[in-house]
Amino acid sequence: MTKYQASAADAVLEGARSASNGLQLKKVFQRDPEAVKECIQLYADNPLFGATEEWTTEDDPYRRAVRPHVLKYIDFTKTLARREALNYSALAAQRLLLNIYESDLVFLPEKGFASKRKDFELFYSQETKLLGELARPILEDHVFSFLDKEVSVSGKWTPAILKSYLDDLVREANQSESRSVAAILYSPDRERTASSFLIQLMMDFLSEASAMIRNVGGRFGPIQSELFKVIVDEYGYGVHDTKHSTLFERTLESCGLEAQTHAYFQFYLTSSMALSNYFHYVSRDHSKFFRFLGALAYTEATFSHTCRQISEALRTVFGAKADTRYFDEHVHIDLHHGRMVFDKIVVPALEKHGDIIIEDIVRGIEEFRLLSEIAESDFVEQSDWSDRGLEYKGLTEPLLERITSGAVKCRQGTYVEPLGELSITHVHDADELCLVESGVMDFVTGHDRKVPLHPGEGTILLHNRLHGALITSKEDCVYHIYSIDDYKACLS
Amino acid sequence: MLVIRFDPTQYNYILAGEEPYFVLRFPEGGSLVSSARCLHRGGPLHLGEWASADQCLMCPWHGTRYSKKILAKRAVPSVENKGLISMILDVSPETSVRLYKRTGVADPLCGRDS
Repeated sequence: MTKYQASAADAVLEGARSASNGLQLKKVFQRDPEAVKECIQLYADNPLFGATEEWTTEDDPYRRAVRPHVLKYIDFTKTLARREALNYSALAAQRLLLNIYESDLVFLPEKGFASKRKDFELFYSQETKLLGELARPILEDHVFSFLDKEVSVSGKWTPAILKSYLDDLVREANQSESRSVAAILYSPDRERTASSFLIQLMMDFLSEASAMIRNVGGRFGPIQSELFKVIVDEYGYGVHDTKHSTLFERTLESCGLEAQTHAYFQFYLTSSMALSNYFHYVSRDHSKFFRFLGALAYTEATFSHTCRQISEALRTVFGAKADTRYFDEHVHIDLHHGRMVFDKIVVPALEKHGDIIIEDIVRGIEEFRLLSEIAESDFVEQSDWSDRGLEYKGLTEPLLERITSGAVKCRQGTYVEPLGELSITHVHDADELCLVESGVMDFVTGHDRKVPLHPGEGTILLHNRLHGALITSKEDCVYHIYSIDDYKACLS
Repeated sequence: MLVIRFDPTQYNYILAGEEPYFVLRFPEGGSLVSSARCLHRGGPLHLGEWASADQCLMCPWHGTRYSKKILAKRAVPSVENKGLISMILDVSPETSVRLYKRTGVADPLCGRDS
């Protein structure tokens, strides 16, 4: 047993025995903020989730950095509003949730299992699982309960009305252009933007349909078998080369990316994880089964159109080397899946269980649509920020002038970091100005997207934008962070 | 079927063909779309008074009261998301639709729209 396992196990056992020592389980269940913090901290103190010196993870699906040192400052018992869905606590919670959900799934490295066996055992250990399960409902409420407020369903729905409504949504979606694809095509750095986009899809596509599989166990009549057919398609009928995730691996490799599980964990945007986690959220809790069906019906009916656009964009950006079979396969098969899910699963479920399930189905459709829209905006804004790195760098001087002249008052912190120090990617809830005084830092806004900052140089850290930093100079890097809140207001 | 999508902060009264509907938004969140014809004598229900103490809407003609529960039961199928309401009517898709921002419409969220 590792030191982490021993301390986590002790805390849980102690908590189970005593209400006054160790982890106070009763208080965690009561969502006492301090007890919850302690529980989440214990979970995140797992060495697998700690600091790393690399931007990418080489073939170790269990290593997933979550910045545990910051978690003690977050109250996860509070629920976020929609406008806060990309704040730091959401990023942290989505990373934690991704790790918790995936401890139910099997991941193995491509090679060198012996050297990773300890990581494997730790990731799937009972201590990790138990602490994760304690934290899971709290984290889910933190990041997903805003959906309950944002989506409101009313009136007497019938199956015919549901069908008309879904048809209308699908028609609209299938006439619209993907904003993410537009961001790729209009980017001055199309290859990197396209790569960033593919990275956002990795967590879902490389273990495709794993959340859905949570819903094929049990006994629920003919629709169970119909759902299984969709999964059989996703899994290539047991022929590994035709499994959808295998096709996606080929896409990644053809575009110059690693296809290993979570190789780019640090570059997942909050909203991309939210989309992937949402399917686990509504599948892990089977009382949300009909919400799951709604989300599935919508995504299967619209994915074909999205895939057509992505496929064309990848061929435009990467040329003939782009292996787009994953997306081309979905252009075809999801025409069937859209029909299969509605006609063979949703309609029979309505006939058998009555109109009472419609509200949940509509809710699932709408919640997924809302999260998709947030994800589109998040990706577009992140890409724009990355593309305009030099522009934001150029705003350092005028901003600094406003600060030093006293026109803008703000808090300032000074930090010293040594060569090789890597700040794991994160976001801030408000704009900040980063200014390097000495040494050199690579300011990173995505995979293979960096702006070097030399003494006297800086950049604006836009709120909610994912970034990290790496010190590249032999001498220590001294830099200042100014909390400017809203850079546009500071410049006006 | 006809799907009508609109921003409830911009429009609160809908005419689909000759049938009137209005939007009720609630302070605790959520909204519904109701027929604007009172069941009693067809009075203009949208101009009724929202009694927050009783959580009911009173028709301006004869004071017929509609509890929130009844309004929800009679409501047009609709869903609000991303700031837009989508309402679905079982009428021909060719039906003409007019959207209005009417003053004096009952509004549990902010009293009476003005």
